[in-house]
Amino acid sequence: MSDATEAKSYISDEMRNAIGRELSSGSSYPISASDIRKWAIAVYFPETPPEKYMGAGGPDAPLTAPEEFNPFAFATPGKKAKKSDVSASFLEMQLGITPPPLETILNGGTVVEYGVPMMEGDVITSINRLDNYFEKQGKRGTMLFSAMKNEWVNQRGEMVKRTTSTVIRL
Amino acid sequence: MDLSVGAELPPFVRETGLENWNRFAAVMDEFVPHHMDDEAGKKSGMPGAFGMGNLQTSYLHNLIRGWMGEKGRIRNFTIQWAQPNLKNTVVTAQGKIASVEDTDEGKLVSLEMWTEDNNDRKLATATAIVLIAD
Repeated sequence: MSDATEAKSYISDEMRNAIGRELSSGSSYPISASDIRKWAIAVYFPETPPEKYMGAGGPDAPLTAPEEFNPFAFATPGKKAKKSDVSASFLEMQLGITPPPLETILNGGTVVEYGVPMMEGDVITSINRLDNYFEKQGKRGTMLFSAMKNEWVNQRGEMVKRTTSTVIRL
Repeated sequence: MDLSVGAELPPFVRETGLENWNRFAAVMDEFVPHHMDDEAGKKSGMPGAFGMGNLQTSYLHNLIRGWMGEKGRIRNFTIQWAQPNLKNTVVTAQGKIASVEDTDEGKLVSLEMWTEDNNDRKLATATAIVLIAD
């Protein structure tokens, strides 16, 4: 006997066809010593960060950024600063397709592989793609998982990090 | 450095609230109302404003960096968030060594980590693989 209460799927053909598409790409401004110091001050607050993040920097002794440093916060070349889209439909809005009718969004986790460290003066290029949609059944019904893969390289083409991020919508 | 399986990392502890979160918002461009305003936090189902998941990521990186020193290099890092960091709580990032493998480059150390608050709420679980050069 078939199950009359077959689970509802939120993955439309349009969404399925979008798997693998680029969500965003771009390059950062050169990382400054001040960017690195400010990041370290924020994440170590209220203690003084380790000295390696607080030096004078410069060409002779460029600072190394903390591994999780984000060079894409605020403005990037060619793009104006804008308010972040934190809605549950942010992903499909970036793709220009119809979002699923789900309003709650949760962060499902992040997996990072690190390559060479980010240094003062580096320009980082990012390509972010939709990696997959999949679903699981939970207490509140169908949960839609969306995975995004983001790769960063520096100006020499060296891999800085690869990140897989998953958001859950329900 | 004690690299035996089960050895614990020196914890990284922070009192958390708007002072931390506003500073992080200022470097991450994460000016989301529920991280800054109690009423917005309540609309998200929390008792008030709550902290950023990305700041938990930084606290766990601080934990690793404080332990591994200059000979260490983080190869991989994973995190899963469980609960939000509530305002005016003390967050402790802690961890232990899960396994150690000898390689040509040095010792490859797997870490199991987590953050929890002073009300025994686990906020995030994480893993990392760190290369400690010989």
